[in-house]
Amino acid sequence: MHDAGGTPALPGARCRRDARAPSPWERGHLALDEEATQAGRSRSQGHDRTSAEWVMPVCGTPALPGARYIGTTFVVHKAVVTTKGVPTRSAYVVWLTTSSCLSPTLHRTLFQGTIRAQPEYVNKSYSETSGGAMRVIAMIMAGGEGTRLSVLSEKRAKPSVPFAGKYRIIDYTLSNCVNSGIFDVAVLTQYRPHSLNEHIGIGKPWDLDRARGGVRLLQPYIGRNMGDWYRGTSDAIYQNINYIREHRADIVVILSGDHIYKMDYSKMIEAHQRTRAHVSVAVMDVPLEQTDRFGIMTTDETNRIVEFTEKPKERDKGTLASMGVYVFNADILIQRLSEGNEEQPRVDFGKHVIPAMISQDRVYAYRFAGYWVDVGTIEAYWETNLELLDPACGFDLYDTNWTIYTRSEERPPVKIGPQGRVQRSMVCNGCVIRGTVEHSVLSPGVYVSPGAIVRDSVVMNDTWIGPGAMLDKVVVDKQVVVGAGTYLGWGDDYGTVNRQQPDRLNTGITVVGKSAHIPPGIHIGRNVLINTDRDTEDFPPGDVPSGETI
Amino acid sequence: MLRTLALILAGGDSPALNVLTAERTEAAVPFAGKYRIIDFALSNCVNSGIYNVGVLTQYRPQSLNTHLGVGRPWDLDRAQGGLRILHPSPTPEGGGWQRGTADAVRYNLDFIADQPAETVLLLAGDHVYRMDYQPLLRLHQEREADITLAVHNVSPHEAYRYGIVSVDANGRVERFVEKPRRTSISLASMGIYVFRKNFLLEILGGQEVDFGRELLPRLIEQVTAYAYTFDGYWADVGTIQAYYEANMALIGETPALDLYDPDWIIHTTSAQRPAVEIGAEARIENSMVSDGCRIYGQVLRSMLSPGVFISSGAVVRDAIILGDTWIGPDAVVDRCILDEGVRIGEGAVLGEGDDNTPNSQAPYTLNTGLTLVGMRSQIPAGIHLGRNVAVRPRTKESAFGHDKLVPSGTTI
Repeated sequence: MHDAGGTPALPGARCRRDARAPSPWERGHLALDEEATQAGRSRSQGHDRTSAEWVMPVCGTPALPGARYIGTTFVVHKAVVTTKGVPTRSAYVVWLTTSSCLSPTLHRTLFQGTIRAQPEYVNKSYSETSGGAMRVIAMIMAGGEGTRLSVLSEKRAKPSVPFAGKYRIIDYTLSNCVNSGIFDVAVLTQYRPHSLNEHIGIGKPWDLDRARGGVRLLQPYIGRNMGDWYRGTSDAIYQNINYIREHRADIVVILSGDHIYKMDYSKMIEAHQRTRAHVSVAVMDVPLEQTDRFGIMTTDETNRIVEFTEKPKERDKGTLASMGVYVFNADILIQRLSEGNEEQPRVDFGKHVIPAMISQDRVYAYRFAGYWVDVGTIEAYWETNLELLDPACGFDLYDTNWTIYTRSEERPPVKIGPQGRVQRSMVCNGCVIRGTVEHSVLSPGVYVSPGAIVRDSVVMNDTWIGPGAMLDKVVVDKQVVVGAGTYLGWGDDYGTVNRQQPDRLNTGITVVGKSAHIPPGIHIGRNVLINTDRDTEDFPPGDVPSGETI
Repeated sequence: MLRTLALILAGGDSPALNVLTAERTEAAVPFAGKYRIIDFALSNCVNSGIYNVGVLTQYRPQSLNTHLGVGRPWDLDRAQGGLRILHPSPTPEGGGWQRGTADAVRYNLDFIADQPAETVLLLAGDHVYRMDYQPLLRLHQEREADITLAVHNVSPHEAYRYGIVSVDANGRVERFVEKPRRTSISLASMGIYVFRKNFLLEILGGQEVDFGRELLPRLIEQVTAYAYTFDGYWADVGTIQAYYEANMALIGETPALDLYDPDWIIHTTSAQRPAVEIGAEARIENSMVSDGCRIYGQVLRSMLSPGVFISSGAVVRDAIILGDTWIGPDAVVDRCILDEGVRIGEGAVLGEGDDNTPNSQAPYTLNTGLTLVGMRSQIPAGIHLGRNVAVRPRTKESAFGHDKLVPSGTTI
């Protein structure tokens, strides 16, 4: 079991007990404790003697026999034990990180004689996660408005926007949690939470309906001395700081609910402990020309973060972008969030907390290489949906080792009629296809009438597409009715941007909001926005040219 | 709500379904892609407001037990009532295996007596239908009947398969004849009985093992028995041909059984699967395809369960393919039923030629040209199978030997 850095993991079963060497406990370690502290100070003197022995921790933790040492990182150093300033012998010293202890398993491994006399373990650090006593909780940020998603997130939070047919965006993060063995998950909601609450329910699809742990929804609240709307990511955590305390968490994993990716957080936690970090930030390489869209981390050769620049204009800060995934030691997190004041607010992790920690804490980067997308804009949303149709895209929904779980509605299989034609598409249960579907993603229950054509589009649940209608490069929300013979996304006028939302609708995608009823027989151009609940009477007579908003 | 106890008989071995029931009871056989046959009876129960359900099992119940779990898809994981699986257990006298429908219920008389229910609704777990039981139960109450039978019109030439009922003008049952060789009456018992609970406890005091064959013909003239005529969709899919036809009927434009009705959802245990993926060269026509399927070849007039993989160049015609079966490149599957987890090698042809020789081991049940492949069998690449061939479950490639041609009617 070797990690990426080549450091041996906890030796455990691989090492035999050395019967000849007595345990330091048996020699009465309390007498050694003070000396060990000195040994720690003088560890750089490195004295090589064969009679080295183990000395117990020196980092402030009470090292009493029988104390429970809960999951931690430790480092083994060879050191010299001095008595009254006189070097007497050399010893291996175990350094523990602050405020954490060894689990009983690790304690046995170390002090009942299993890894001593194994020189290759010296000056390496180890993390102990198999003890099972470490408490990891995850907190998912799911309150964002996602304004750039236009009407798709008008009546629901961005994490609750349907994606890849039957999923919601938050399913990816939630599934990552349970697939990583984290069953204690809080979802912090704020903006339009109803759809999200409905979706998550008691957490059954993710096996998060549990007696211990499970999923909790944390809404903003009013208290005596505190409580208000969440002003930012870390403010949301700060307002729920008692949740972390009450769960007696050792590690808090902070996640964003609006990204599409598969990531094993347990590997990141392992790395976090190995580096003895106070906080680890997941980063990934992005193309140099995109660095101005992300928070960029500059690291030294040990992956320690030395500088953080939010959306840098210059290109000299490196290409490691923060993914908005943080692993915190709970005590440090609580401490740093509590330090905020008017001058130095602690409202946002990227803007305030991480930059402030770089100078005083151990902030490490964890490199992630894999598929990761922030579907923050209409174009990214549309593109990512269709990208999944390409087997080479790097994201396999059909991977049975990393299932993405979701609340599945009870729907019959897809029915494809005699004139139905479907190619390069994903179609969900409950769809009935009597027309043509090409290079599109259809959510459950979509009805495509005979003669209708759906091309390069994303169509959500229970939308009805009338006979002879045509959809081209359109994103259609749920329960929309497209009248017979209507053309949505018509013409070659991709250039005319939407007049009301020029920054959001400018790539030729026409967007239709939930429950809109589009009249039959009209032509609707590109970059058109049709708001939610629009009825046929709301449309002006005749065609709708590109860039219009209804 | 708990005044009615539903008992679903799901213990039959149904030999006529050949390899499909070799490793599971008929109630657990997949149907219409993602469903199991028992889903229809169970969903009918909860859609009719009956939340106290016992499922009586005996033959190969493992697959059924896994499917039912604690009854969550049907909202039957309840503190009061809910889903109970009633399985046989040895008796002090050395018996315990159930020899028929009445015998199965008799073994659970204590359970039935303890239930708060006044009425017992006895159902078959191997029929495909959608039926609101409430009108049936209401009729039973209004007429103060001891027993009420649900009956269905069948064509007289099929009457030999059913218990046939003759009724008077008021709907009262006059006679019950099990599987008559010839009859002019076309009202068939659907195997759905409503009993007054105490009446059921009384009549099972004897030794009769079957309701249809022994108890009902004798009792019906002495007690207050009524018939309730049901004219919705109902199919007994107890033979390979009936199973095949009932599946294929769903593919038609407006099938008699509407699975898409939001007011009468058929609930089932859905696996977590992504959407159907359809490749650039794929062609799908007149078919039903379930979530998790990946189609790169041709699928015509077929029913696909979840997770089926159709490689490019493969052609699937008029077939029923159950979950997670893998069809290799350029393979041809014509008029076949492939069970779960089957692997069809590259270029294999299943269902070839016009030779309709009935299956040598099951000539009466496998004679309509359908070729069957049992669960988790492996069909070697390049092999040609004729019609009416049956491949037993878990057959390895080596069982086919060196022959590249398996003639019609063979069993492997």
